[in-house]
This record gives sequence, structure tokens and C-alpha cells, in this order.
Amino acid sequence: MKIEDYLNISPYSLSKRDKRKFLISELNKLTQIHYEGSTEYKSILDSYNKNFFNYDNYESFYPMPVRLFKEFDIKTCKSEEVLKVLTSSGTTSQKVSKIFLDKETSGLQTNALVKIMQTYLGKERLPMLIIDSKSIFKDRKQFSARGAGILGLSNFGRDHTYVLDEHMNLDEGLIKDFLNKHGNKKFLIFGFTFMVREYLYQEAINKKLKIDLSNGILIHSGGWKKLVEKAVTNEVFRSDLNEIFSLRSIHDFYGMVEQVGSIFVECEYSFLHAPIFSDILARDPITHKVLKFGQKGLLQVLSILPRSYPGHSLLSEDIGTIYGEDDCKCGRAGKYFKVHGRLPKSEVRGCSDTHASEVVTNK
Amino acid sequence: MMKIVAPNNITNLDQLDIEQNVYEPFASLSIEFIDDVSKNILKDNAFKEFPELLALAFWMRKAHIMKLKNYFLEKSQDEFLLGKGIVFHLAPSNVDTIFVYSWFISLLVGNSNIIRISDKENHQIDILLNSILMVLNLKKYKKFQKRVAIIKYGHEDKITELLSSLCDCRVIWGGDTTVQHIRSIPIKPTSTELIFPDKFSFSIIKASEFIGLSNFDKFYENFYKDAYSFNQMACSSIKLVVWVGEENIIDKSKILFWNNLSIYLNKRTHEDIQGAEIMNKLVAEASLAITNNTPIKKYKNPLINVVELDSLKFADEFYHPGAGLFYEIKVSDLSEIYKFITRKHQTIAQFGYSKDELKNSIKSNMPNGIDRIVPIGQALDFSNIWDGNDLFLSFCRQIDIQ
Repeated sequence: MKIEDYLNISPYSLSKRDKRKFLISELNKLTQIHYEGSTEYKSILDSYNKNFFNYDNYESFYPMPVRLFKEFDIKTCKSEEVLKVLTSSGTTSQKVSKIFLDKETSGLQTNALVKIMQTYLGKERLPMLIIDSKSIFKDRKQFSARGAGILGLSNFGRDHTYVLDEHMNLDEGLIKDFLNKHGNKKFLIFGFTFMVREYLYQEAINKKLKIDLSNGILIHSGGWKKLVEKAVTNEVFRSDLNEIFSLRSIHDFYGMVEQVGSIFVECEYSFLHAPIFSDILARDPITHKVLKFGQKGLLQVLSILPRSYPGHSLLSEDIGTIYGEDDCKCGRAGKYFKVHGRLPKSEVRGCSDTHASEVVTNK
Repeated sequence: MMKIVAPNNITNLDQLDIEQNVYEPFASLSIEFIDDVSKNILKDNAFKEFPELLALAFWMRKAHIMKLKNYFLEKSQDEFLLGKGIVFHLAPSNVDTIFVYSWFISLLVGNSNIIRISDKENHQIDILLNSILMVLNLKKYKKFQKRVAIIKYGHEDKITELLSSLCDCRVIWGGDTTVQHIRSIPIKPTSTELIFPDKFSFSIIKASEFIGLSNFDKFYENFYKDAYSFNQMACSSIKLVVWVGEENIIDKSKILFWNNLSIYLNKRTHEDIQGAEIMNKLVAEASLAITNNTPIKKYKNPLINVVELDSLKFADEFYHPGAGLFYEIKVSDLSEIYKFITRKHQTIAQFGYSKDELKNSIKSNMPNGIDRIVPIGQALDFSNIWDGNDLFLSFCRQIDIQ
């Protein structure tokens, strides 16, 4: 089967055996392609002096630390084939990941995303409320992860309505107008988890706004770090939105700029699901041995989409638990899991009190 | 937030009044104080789980202090040595015991002391401080109220400026950046400064001796101590292993060494190692692979990753993440290493060489760096001679009487 045909299979329909067979053959092909195309990737594989090809299991593929994309420009395609460069949204002092996309990879990512999202949203474009500000698109050349996320999801919407101004103030008028027009039928809401909570939910509470989002489907992402600090768990997040806005259809998704497209969306039972384009492993954070279902560990994400950069097998810095495969109550096939947060940063030890725990390499 | 830990009768720095006059070196009150602190620590079960703190307590025992006294008297036989006055110690935030060694050596030669401790949370430092304060606040040490100040604060230059203006000698323990930064803050024209910047340490193993070793367990225990304490991040921690000898013996030794170290590590628990440190290691070794195409070897235990370098030249320049990343290099003769030695190199933890061999080797090669050479197992032991300075002498003035 070709990947184009594979993309036409419903994203949660393959059982373990069929999925694994196709993914492993693709991942082997990709390892070969990246080994030949990326000098950085080749250097790493050569350094370990191992035969990295033709594996028959996920565990054996080199799990590339995702942070390397922050330290080096790593790509497999030729420079003239680069269509766009995605960057992660780092805070001021942090380095950002740079992900080089060519036409093929970008196309595959878009297609995969469409297939996944359609299972939640249907095939028609829905009116779309965006809990963000248009000002995020100031620099068109470099897409930040936030911008890329919005643009990616925008394909599923129409009448895109950005309800925050550049200072993150909520424009109630815009929401009211939108709801007058579209509120009676199914519509799409997209925003980053933290922003939905702070700039929509908290604003509505503070200003005692009455907003009815009962026909909305909220897709959100971005991680829970800031919210967990405020003791807002996924359960609290969901039940609060339900109570204030009558919003019931809420789907978090887990994805990263290093693997756009093959995202993991949250089902009705609050589990994230691996679609047929990607898979996931949890590893012990110290030994990196692959863990059994139910054990908490470092997540490794596998995806068959990255062709222009070696991002098909990545070791994330996220901690999560995989609960099972093919037997979630929601009926979707594939592994289902939860993400608990980031790998805690290491304490600085030793004589010096100035070293950052972030890696600094000589280039 | 600034906090004055001692003296306990002042609440802000304007009230700080530290005596500049010195005590006689090894005054009995100073020795008694240090011995009392030692006793206080040794009777407290809270310290049992911290070997570095216990080692400190043993260093402070009266019997050992008397040895140091003899050593000092021998050094000062024909000269007249007196303390400098007020010594200001800036301690690093993560090697918990350094500030005590630095302070107590200075106290022993008769100085008043001001100690800066980082305001970062640190359980070990807190229990250590509590134990010291308990003794310091005893009535019999009332005189010390004006001879010691312990101040906890973050990177607040204003405070460092004030304390620097008071001292006759400033001691900076810290990384290069800290040292550089604090050096830009003036001290009195008559004051001196002692600095301890980032250093790089390594191990040298004579392969022919290693291969004939009978007690391997002791060897690994010693190596473990020097490499894995402080997660390999102290200035004296072993980060590189230099094998010396014939190629075929080295190759045999290497396999034996790393495999057996792996077995040794499997027997120990490593509760303090963090996932982030392992991740940093993976990133560091992959980065090295990209920039230098260095071969990486993994072993059964996750705390051993060995990166083969073809030259010692750059080893100290790479970011070292700790967590059991070792650089490795082989040479046919010890003399081959010296051309790469710089001021940055501190400790050689060696195996297989006699003291005379080492002395002759240093004598004939006169390297630009290297502060100490110790048997494997003693790299992290504190000594009053550090980075080429004898602290006893550095905290003193020598009065020349003709």
C-alpha cells in the first residue's frame, strides 16, 4: 500500500496488527531516507554504530531527542525544496525548534490532519470562533507553533472570528454577533488551553457574561503546565466550561511542532488517541526501557509523515501514561493515553552556580 | 530575599559590625568551636544520609584540627603569619560543604568572616546551618557575634558591593560567569582575592596495572565515588578517562572496565538521578556526534555512555551533562597528555602510578595546568590546598621580620 492510499483509511479503524505492519515498513523506509539525506541524522546513527534498518518493532527505531531540533538545523530535503519553516513558540530565553517542511511533507501533514479532524467535526466547514488574536500573524514567513496551530485548524472553519485583541482582551460584541448568526447550529471553537481558560472562561466569570456555546465543539491544545499550577485539571476545565457555557463537546489534542499533522485527539472519555499515521511508546525516564500499559513514562512519538526532516521517531520531554490499545470505550482503535506534563527540569549540581540546565553545545 | 542568618541580634545590614582585628592562629576558642560543631553534627541522625556532611564533621574533629595546626606551625616556622582581617566567602549554591571549609580554615588562622549563601532552597545546607548556629549561639561563643556574619541572598549586587567594601580578602567559589561578574565589583585597594572558577578533571589509568588488578570491587567503589558523586558535575568529578599503555592491553582493559562498572552500577540504586539529566546526556552525546562524529558506546547500565575522542584537546569545551557521560581517549605514554593541559584542568584521579613517577613526569613536562593528582577515590576529598593555593596561607599576611 502507498501512503496516499493509506491516508484514505479512516484514522481510527485499523487494529494493532495491520497498523503496526504498515507503520514499521514506512518507518524503516524513512530511516533510510533520512540517513541518506541528513548529514546530522547520519552522524548520530553512525556514532552509535548500530544497524538502524529493517526493524520489526517500534522499540528499535532511534528515538531522537526532540531538543536536537533546537540545537541544530536538521533537514533531509534540499534547501531549495523547503516550503516553510515551522518554529516552536519558545519563551524569550529559550531556543526554538526549527522544522523544515517541503511540499510533500506539508501536504501529508495537511491530509492527515483533515482525516483526523473530520472524524470529530464532519466533512463540512463549520463557522469558527478563535480564542486568539489576529496579531499573531504579523510575521508571515516564520510560523510560530501558535500561528501554525490556528492556521492548520482554520481549514476546518469558515467565518473565522478572532475574539481577542492584541492585549488578549475579549471582545464580547464579536462573540455575540457570531452566536446570533451561527449559534443555533454546530460550530467550531479553537484556542490554546490556557487562553481558553484565562481569556474566555475567566473573563466570562469576572464580567458575568452569558454566553451559550452549547452547539460548539471546542478543540484546544497547548499543554496543562500553567493550568496545573492553578490546580485546574482537565476534569475541572471541562466541567467549568460545561457549567458556564453549556459546552459539552471538548477535545484537547496533543501534538508538537516537530510532528505536525499526526496529532493525538482526546476522545469523549478524556483519552488521547493515536491515529493510524502515528504511534506512541512510554519509556522509563532513566533506563529508557519501554513500559507496559498503565505505567507512567517519557513519551516517544512515531509518525510516518515527516519526510523532509528526520522526525519520524522522536523522544519527547513529556511524561504520560498509555492505558491500552484498540479497546477504549469510545470505540476508536489505536493506543490511548494521557499526558501528565513535562519531564521535570534537573536541579543544577556541582561547583558552579551559573550553569543553566539547558544544553549548550559548541558549534 | 536577603536573610541575615548570623549574628542573630541584627535585622538589617546597616547594623552589621564586624571586627577587623585578628585572633592568634589556632586560638583555643576557635578550635573548641569547630570541635563542638563536629560533635553536634555527629550526634544528629539527620546527617547520616549525607556522606559529604559526615566527612566534613570528621574533618572538624579536634584530633584532625590539631594535625592541621601542626601543619600550619611547620609552614610558618620561620615566618610570622597573621590573619588578613575580614574574609568574605561567596559559596556556590550546590556544593553544600564548601562554605564551611572555607570559613573554618579562615577562622582557624584568626580571621573574622562574612559568608554569602545562596537563597535557593537547599535542605542539606539548612540542616548544616542549623547545627552550626546551635553552637554559635551558645553563651561561650558570644565573642563570635562580631566575628561572623552569615547572609543568605540571591544575585543582589548591592549586597555584594557592601560586603566587598568591608573585607580584606574575598573568596569566590563558583562558575566562570559568577567569578567574572563578582570580580567586577570592587574590593578595597588593600584587599586580596581568591578565586575558584570552573575546572575540568579526569582520570588516568595505566592499562597494564589495571588488567593485573586483584581487587576490582574496591576499584569500582573508588571510581564510582569520584565520578558519580554530585552527578559528575563537581569541578573534581571524573568526566574523562585517559588510558595509558599498549593498544591491545588498553582495548582489553576498556571492555573489562566498562562492563564491570556497568555490573557494579546495577548493584546500586540511583534514586537521585533524574530523567532530565539522562535526557541532557542523550542530547549532549548526539550533539557531539553531529559536530565531531564521535563514536558513542552504551552499556547495560543507563548511567554509562562512553564517547570516544581522538584528542584530549576539546574535552573540556563540550557541555557536560553529568549522568554518567564519559569521554575516553587512549595514549601510549603519559607524557602525551601534557601538551593539551591548560589552566582549566584541575584534578587527575590516577591509577597505577607511583608518587615518584608522577613527580618526575610533572617535573620533566611542566604542564600549564593541573592542580592536584590523587589516587582514584580521593578526587572529591577536600584539601586545604585547592586549585594551587594553600588556603591557610592565602588567608594570612606574612610579616617579614629581618
